[in-house]
Amino acid sequence: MTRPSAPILRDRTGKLKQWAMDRLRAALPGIFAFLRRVWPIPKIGKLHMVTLHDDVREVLLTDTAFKVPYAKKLADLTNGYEAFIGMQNTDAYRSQLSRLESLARPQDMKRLADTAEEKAEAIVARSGGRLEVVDTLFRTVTFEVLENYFGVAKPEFGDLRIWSTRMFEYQFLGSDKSLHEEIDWMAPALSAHIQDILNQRRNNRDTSENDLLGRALAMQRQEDEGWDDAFIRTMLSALVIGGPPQPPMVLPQALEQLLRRPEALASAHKAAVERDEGLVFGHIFEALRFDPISPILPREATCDCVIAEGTKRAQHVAAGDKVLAAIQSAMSDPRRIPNPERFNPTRQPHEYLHFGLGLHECFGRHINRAMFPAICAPLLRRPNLRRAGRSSGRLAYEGFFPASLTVVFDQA
Amino acid sequence: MVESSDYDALLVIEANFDGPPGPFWAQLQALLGERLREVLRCCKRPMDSSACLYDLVTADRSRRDPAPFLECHVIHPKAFFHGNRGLPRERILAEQALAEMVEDRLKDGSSWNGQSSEEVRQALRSELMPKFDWLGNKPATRIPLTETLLDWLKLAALLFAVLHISLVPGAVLAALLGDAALAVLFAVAAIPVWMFFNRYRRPIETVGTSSSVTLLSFARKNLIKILGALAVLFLLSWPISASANVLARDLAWPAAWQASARQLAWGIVWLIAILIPAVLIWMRYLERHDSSQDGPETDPLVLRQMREMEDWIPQNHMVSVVSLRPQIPRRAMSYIGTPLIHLALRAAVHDGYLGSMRTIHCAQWAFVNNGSRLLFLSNYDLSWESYFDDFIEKAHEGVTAVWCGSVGFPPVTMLIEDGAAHGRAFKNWARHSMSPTRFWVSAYPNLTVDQIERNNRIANGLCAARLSPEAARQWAEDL
Repeated sequence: MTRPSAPILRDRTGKLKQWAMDRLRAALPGIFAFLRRVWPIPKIGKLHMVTLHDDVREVLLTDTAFKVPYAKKLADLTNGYEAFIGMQNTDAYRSQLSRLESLARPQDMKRLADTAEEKAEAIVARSGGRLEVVDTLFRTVTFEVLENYFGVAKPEFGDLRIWSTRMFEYQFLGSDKSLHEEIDWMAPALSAHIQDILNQRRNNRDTSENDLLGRALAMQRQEDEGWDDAFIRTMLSALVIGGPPQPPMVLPQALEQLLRRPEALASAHKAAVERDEGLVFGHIFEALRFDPISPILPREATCDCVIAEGTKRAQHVAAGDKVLAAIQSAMSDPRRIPNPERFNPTRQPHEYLHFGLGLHECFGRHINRAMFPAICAPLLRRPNLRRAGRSSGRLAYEGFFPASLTVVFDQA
Repeated sequence: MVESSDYDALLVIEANFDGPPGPFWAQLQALLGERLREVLRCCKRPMDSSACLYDLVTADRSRRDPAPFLECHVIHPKAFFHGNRGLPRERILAEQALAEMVEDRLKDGSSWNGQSSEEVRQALRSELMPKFDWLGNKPATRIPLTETLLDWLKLAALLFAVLHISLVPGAVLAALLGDAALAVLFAVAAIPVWMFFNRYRRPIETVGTSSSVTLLSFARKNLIKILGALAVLFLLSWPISASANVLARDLAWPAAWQASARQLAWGIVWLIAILIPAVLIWMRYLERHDSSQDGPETDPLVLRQMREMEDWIPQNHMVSVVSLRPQIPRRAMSYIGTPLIHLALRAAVHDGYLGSMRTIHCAQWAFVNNGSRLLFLSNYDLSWESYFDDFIEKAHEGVTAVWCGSVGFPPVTMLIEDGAAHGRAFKNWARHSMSPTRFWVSAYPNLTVDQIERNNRIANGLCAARLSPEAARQWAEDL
């Protein structure tokens, strides 16, 4: 078992590799701009990448021809059970999703936002004007709020933040031998932990429905079909793996982009001071357009098909080929996005693809919509928010994960 | 939806928007989504290369975006007049809010008694600055000088191309014949041409109206400009003609310059003495033999639909499609004349108004159905009747020039005379060509062209840190 004090991010990336990754990340907008103009659907072997807004939408929306490639790894993490994240648009998928959606209610969002803001405010207030945001603020608040909302409390032994982050890395970002070894015991541990909570709640005759787990148990008690323990475990595992690791990745990147743009930061500060939650979210979402959580979303062709059929750039894709939908490129495509180089926090929703599109649009989008501004607002409200001196004031990465970013601000 | 007894109904999506077209289509798609696909499913499958896209977009359970298909079918207007050009929607709305605030502040007139215009302006500026922080900035130029210069350049280039090509036959004849032979030849040709021209240039009895402007009076009024244009034509054509002489006749450059000057002079004589009157005679022949439609019938149900949809807000919309007459000079006039009118309007109109017409937000003409029909779309202020009264009284020459080649248009004389000046016939013909506008959205439904211009003047005045007493007095006249 991992100790609670163990580092949450793996220190496996060499300095040179990290440097190369950072440079590549910085060069992506230029590379995408070049590809959009010169080679909009590059193909290398069995790998295709779509870079134009129209083509990215086409790939994401055509789920019958382009499936998500998550099923196999997800099965490793959920003891072989299928979860909606990796499924095609089948009856089973729709049934699973509708059951899960029945647990998360619109009125929860305000509660989530209020709790997140309260916790964030407390952390910012006691920071003394200097704060490392990635772990201390974003990860702490996200995990505390979502553990509570999901009903998956901290395990007695081990650290849910580490389990969740490792499994997220395995699921979405790649894997190596050491990660595989960790996953081999973390996945069953998470499953067992959730089962323990289920058993404990039942034994204690706990009928509270304040969290998703409690609501799932209530459905089980009503003997509604499909609410067995395996389903509840699988769904909650999927949520724990796919959900909480994202804000600590996304929000530091958004803050970094705001810090690079003094005018945008000032405008975000104003919105936060005026408690304009919508506009604060607009700033975060717009900042992420310049550095999204994932520049690409992978898909796999289920049949022989043609991308951008009916156009000059039409490209044949064989069944089994990998297709990368470059959402970062799509969100900067001047053919569809007005003034993509301009920071505009009042863009229209269709100009963003952060949550994906179509069948596999992020399940947590409403949760993120509520929590992002709530977590950031207390910090953005602080006067004279700026980078800390030296390298600590720059967003540092550990592999794909933001590792640290320290900011300072004036005490009100 | 434009309906016609000769063609299947035509689905027209008119789009007047700020910024580049790509983002507009994305926004339309996001706004209308599946409804746009449903609309397209009601359309016929195109027979051109977009048929494949059509199938993909309209297939059962299709998720393919309709925007790329719609982009394949974009028709850019050949002539477009934009009333409040240079004012994007955001600026119009911001200036409206400012003007309303100013009006509100001035309600109580007594508190401003005894103050000069500049004092009132300064007081309002200070008071409104916190709410409208952009008042501290210099207003953005509505139409940059470079854009205007480019418009003039395009107009000049098109005009030059047309005239230069027209004088080539005369110049070629000059290269082949001596001066004496040429003079005899041109005189022999020109005398009957001018005799015919003089005979037929006037309207026949039943066609003539009290229209004061004729093509000849227009030419006389602008004689200096026409002579200047011919001089410019000569100077610009000279190097082209000289180069042609060097290449085709193997002349040395000094001899080529000399020869080309002579050829161009004869070319211009050919243009004025023979070609233009000859074309006008041809046009007059067509005009005299045209069949107009004096009493076109408009389906009462369609007419009622149109009237029911008009006059809900200060702005209205109209769509009209007319078939074009098939003759070569007619088509040539339409295809060349319409872009010339478009460029002339862009180059010359900068104050938001089309001459004395102050009611047009947008007016555009486009050729559809392989150029066989002329589509007219317009957003205008006030009623349809008053809009067409304006056309008839203030701009009938221009309107006649654009529509004179249309089937059923009231009888025309010399391209611009009569035609739309036949008020009642013109209105009947226009109504007959119209279809009800099923759906339209205005970005600023409560503003007229005049109000937008007024709001702009008020805003610009308030942006200035200081105004002279005279300028301030002029500014105050808008309040």
